[in-house]
Amino acid sequence: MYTSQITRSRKGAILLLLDLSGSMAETIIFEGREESKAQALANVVNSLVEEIISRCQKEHFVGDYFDIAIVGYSGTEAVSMLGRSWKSIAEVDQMYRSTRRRFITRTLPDGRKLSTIVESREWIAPQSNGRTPMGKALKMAKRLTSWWCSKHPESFPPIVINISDGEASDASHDKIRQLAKSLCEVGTSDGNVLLMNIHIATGHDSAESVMCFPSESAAVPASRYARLLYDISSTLPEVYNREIGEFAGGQPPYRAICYNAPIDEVVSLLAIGSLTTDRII
Amino acid sequence: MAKVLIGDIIDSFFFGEGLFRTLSGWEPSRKRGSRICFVAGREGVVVPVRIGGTRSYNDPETAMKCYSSPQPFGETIHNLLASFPDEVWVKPRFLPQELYVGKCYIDVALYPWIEGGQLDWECRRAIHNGRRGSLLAYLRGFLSLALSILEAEWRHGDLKPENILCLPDGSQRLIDCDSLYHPSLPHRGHAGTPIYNHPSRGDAYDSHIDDYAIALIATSLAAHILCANLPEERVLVAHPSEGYGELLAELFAENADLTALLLALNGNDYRIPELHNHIAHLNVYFADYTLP
Repeated sequence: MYTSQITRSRKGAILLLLDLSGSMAETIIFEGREESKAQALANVVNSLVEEIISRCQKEHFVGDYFDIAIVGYSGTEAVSMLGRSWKSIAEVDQMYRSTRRRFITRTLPDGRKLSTIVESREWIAPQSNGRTPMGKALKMAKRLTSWWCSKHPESFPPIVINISDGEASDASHDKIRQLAKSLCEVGTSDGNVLLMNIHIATGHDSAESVMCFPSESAAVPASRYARLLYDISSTLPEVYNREIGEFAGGQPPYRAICYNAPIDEVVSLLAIGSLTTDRII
Repeated sequence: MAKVLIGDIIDSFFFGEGLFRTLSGWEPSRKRGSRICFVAGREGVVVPVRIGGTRSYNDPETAMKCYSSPQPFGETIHNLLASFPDEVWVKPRFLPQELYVGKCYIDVALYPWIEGGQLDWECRRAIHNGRRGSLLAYLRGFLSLALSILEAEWRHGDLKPENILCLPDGSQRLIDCDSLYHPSLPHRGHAGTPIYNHPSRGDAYDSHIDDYAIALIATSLAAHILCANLPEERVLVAHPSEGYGELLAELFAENADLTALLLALNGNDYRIPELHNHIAHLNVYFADYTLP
């Protein structure tokens, strides 16, 4: 299980579930600047999409190794943010909505600072309003992944990444557990859907409560909500062990959760969670 | 250390020479707008750059490979490579800890720019355009390259069509020496690219690690030369177990060496003891082969 290579004829699938609720208007420090969480999340997701495209970049084309879907949830709805539900990575490469000039600074080991401006592509814009219908998003994820798995029955199963800063407003903890369990029962012949949860730090959380890809042998989180996210997150298969071991240490198996993740680190976390690069051929 | 993001590597090029430890006087090749051209691989990215001179950026002279993870044996491997034949390898210059990408320095290798395309891309184009004569030329070039490999004490270690350059004169060169096998090198736990390795290879590290890839590429190319109607997507991965066993057995029935290689690909061992003989025979056979 979880051994299928990701090829152009056996694609992979990545589904992002994004919390766009009102609380995402709160500000945090991102890349050294004060930004809304919504803006930071949009930057992170746009960077991840660019990273996925980059990893598929061949000499004359973008190799069609992945399908991507992005679902945003806020108010009472969960909606697809890339037009129709799934897009191939080659299509995504061509359908960015805008470009943005980013001012980036690198501090060298000797303390010198260098700055430059980089133009980045954007696929989603920041949004923040209403409540947090995570239950609806999980239901939509099940519908999307079921369809995808029926079309790609032998592929590496879809990876679903839920990024949020708060609790669901449309479902109890028990209901969220039930919906996540149902989602993770969907699969291909190579394994079931992998669900990864990333809870964004607010900036007020203590460093002690940060938890990224914890070993299952380590202590489980104390807070009730962290425990919920831990419980609904998948146990990562062996294919992830080496890269997570290098990143987070600890002993496998690892759980697919990053709780109170520093937003600056989220692209790296997402890249590890979504791009099992050794499997792309 | 976790892998460096490709985005961070590419962003580094926008700082000009500022983040390079020793390199200067180069410019990356760019696409429309200001985006930088690159090709991604498992070990990092390759960026075409021009070093010195005033020629157009569309005429790159060097391929700069930026590694996304540390290469502890990089210098040893590249030093070894210096003694290997120029007719077989494109030889890079290794620059350890050269490019600063925000949290760390990464290793870089500079490849001289060689006119030619990757075997994978060239074959896909030839099949798409129905140019079986070109495919025959690619097979001849590959059989000659395979004999050079099998007669050496080293092995490529990650042999696949993407790591083979087809030159305009019909010869082929190996690129990407990161998985090199040599008796003097320690086992580095690199298992190559799975689809070009026999399932039983595991992380074996010996003089047979290229056997499966050589047999697979040779039989796949031969299949496309002998049969014009194979689907394009199977260009170089006409794996016998993926539904093509019977078709290939029929195609190869009149050639004992192709039949033997097909059996070996389906066998239980990643080692193919008579591989050199089979490739040598095929080299002679396809040198005189004329397309119907």
